[in-house]
Amino acid sequence: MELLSTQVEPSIETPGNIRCSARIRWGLTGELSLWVDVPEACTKSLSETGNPWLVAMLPMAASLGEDIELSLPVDALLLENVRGVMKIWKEWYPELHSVDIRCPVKGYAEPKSTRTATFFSGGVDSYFSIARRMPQNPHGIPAVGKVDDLLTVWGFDVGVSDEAQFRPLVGMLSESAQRLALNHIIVRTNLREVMPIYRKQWGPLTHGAGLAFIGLMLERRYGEIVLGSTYPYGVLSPWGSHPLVDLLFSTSGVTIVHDGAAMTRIGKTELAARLPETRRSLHVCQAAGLHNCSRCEKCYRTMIALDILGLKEAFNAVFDWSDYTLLKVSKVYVGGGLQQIFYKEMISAAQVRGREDVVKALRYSSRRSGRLAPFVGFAEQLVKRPIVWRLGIALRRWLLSGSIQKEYIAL
Amino acid sequence: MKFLKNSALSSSDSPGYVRSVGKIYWADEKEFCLWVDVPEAYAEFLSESGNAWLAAMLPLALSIGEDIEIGLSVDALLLENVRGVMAIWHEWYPELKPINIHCPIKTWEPTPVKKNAAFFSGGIDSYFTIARRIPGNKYDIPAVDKVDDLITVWGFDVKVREKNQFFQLEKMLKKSAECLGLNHLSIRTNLRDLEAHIPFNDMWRRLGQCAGLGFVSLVLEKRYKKISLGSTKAFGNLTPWGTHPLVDALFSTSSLEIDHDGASFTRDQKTDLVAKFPPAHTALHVCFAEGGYNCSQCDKCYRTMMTFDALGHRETMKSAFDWSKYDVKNIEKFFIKSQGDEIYGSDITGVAKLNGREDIVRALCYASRRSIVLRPLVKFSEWLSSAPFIWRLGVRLNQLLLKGPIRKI
Repeated sequence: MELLSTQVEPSIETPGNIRCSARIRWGLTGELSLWVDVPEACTKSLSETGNPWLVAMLPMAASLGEDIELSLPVDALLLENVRGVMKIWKEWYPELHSVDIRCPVKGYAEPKSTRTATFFSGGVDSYFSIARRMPQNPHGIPAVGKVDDLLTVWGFDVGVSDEAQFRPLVGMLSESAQRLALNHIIVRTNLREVMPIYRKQWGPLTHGAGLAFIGLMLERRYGEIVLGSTYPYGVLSPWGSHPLVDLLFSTSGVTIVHDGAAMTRIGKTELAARLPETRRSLHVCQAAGLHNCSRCEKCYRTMIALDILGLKEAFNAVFDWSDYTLLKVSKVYVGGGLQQIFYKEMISAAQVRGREDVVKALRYSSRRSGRLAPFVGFAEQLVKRPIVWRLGIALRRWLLSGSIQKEYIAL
Repeated sequence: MKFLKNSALSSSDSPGYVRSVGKIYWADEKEFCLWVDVPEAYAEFLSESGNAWLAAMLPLALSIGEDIEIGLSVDALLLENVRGVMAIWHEWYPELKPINIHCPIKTWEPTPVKKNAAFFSGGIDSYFTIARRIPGNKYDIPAVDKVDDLITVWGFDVKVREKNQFFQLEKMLKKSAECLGLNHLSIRTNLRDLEAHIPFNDMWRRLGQCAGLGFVSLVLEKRYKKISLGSTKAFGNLTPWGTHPLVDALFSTSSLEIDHDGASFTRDQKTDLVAKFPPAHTALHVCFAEGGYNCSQCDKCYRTMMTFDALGHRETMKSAFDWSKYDVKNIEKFFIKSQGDEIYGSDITGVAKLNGREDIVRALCYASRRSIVLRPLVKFSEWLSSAPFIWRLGVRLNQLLLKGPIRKI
């Protein structure tokens, strides 16, 4: 893979934005155009190195087994770190390749910025990171750092062309940032559109690299970029965002912080709930744009946690509790893999708080999901095959009829 | 488990040093007086928080299952991180159960720009870390950061009462730091005396190293922004160990980052870079057997010497070792004991193959086969050594099995 050229020009698609784009050659004849739009005010913050492009290209190069070539200089620490990333990925997924990287090397220079940004989707992880980065806050939450900017990415959870879904959501997030007295920056990218590995392997492999790509695109503005953890220490397994890997996307000038893995999800929810803004604006749902649908697995996961914590009332503004019942909790389809971790945490928390009714419903859901998972997995395999894919869809629908399950905005 | 007293006074044991002392009480009647000596010039940087003491107490508290109580405030991020450390240790060693920590919390505050330090024992890892932290160096090694101070700990690799051995080593390290234009300081602590009270097998290597280095780092937390410690195992080959990139970083606070440096490199890659760093050519010290020089006969020396040999750096490193004691034939008797030894062995084999050193490859393959046969016997002899009455027999058997030109340290 080769970074052929980069260009910075006003964005036609996103008014008031500057587009930083790159032409990337791959395979024998393949070529793609990857771009990132940032507000004009951030023009001076745009990276002039090969750092973000290297991070963006890495998963695709590792899956194709193609060396990477860049004419832009890459930070010496990042170049070292990327070797580590490849070693870890190869250990997790032996089908991936270790590739060589040919580029000029940029040695350490005294960092210029001490600004901190955190990614902001409006979910539990975002508010958890923010809540602990408000020094001297009146809510009694001990600060572990500070934050200056909130970064929202258009093109990751919501499709890069889906303006109808993104605009209302971003409006809500901007209002929330304003109330928190924090700067809100919206970055738009076609990364998931032009590099299929960022669509197909987002969860298990590329999630952290995608976020680091965005962070490093603004590397001249930041000393630290915070991204919320997914799974907690003690139960870590190969995943696209992981404390070992995310940190390795750091350069000698910008540290990528994998934040909050010392806490369980329910622990994060409890702490984030102490921030009034969370009670007003929490947005966890990927099924609908502006509001939480209060029907999907992601909404239910958070609602169950709030119920266990005795915070149903406090979150009346963000969830519709009228349809929430423990019978439905027992019908949540958790899947058979890593997702079970969150539910096991909730069972422990419910036990500690004497919520035997929730424990019973969650146990039922966990057992039911465990039994269903292999059949759902089989149906999902069928969906990927020609001729029988319709049968796969029908089988999956039948197996999960009546279940609370994951729903996503189509990318 | 309680931490009650914290005082700083002149050290009677180490002239020119200030001693910070804390008392740890546990199991109703037991107590331990933990101290750390820092040079008087650094007294103003001595920590006033509970951070360092918390790091020091953590392995003992988990091993005996007692909650920790500290009257001094602990940094909010460290307190969160320590939960992560406990979750990881519990995953690795299920007998260690997370405990509660009761203490006042200190929240983040902006701090003035501080210095960077790196731990410095004079070995491959130390020089590898330093070599990449000299911006604009004349050796063409790209800098990944900068370093101001080099810290040597007296009480970890060299025992806290081994004065002669430490002074020889310190003299050499100070000279080397001077040549590098870097500041050097020694910190002395009796932390490892606490090991005798910790009911956890092979505690230092499996658990305590990161907490120990975290403790020493946090003692001078007012001076530093970042402290680097050299990695042991490389990414892709990580296993539960006393120093680990996940755990070490978790001894960071909101104002001091503990940096696990160099895990993207295998040991032979590190060794190769060190050979290209002239200040290490005369001052490299890898030996646990001797204080001021490399004995060139122990397994640690031999491992490093054969790597240099396989990489073609024997001539470059002629001053660091007594090469008259080195013979490729002797490698056949190299005992590969642990999984870590096996990884190093296969890394060196790979390098030797790449460089056409079939003699080293053959010798290491022989050593590997020989070690497979020896390992259960050595284990048996170690078991005998710890049994009452027959322990002498075990010691003899062990000596007999490991007899050869390379000393196992």
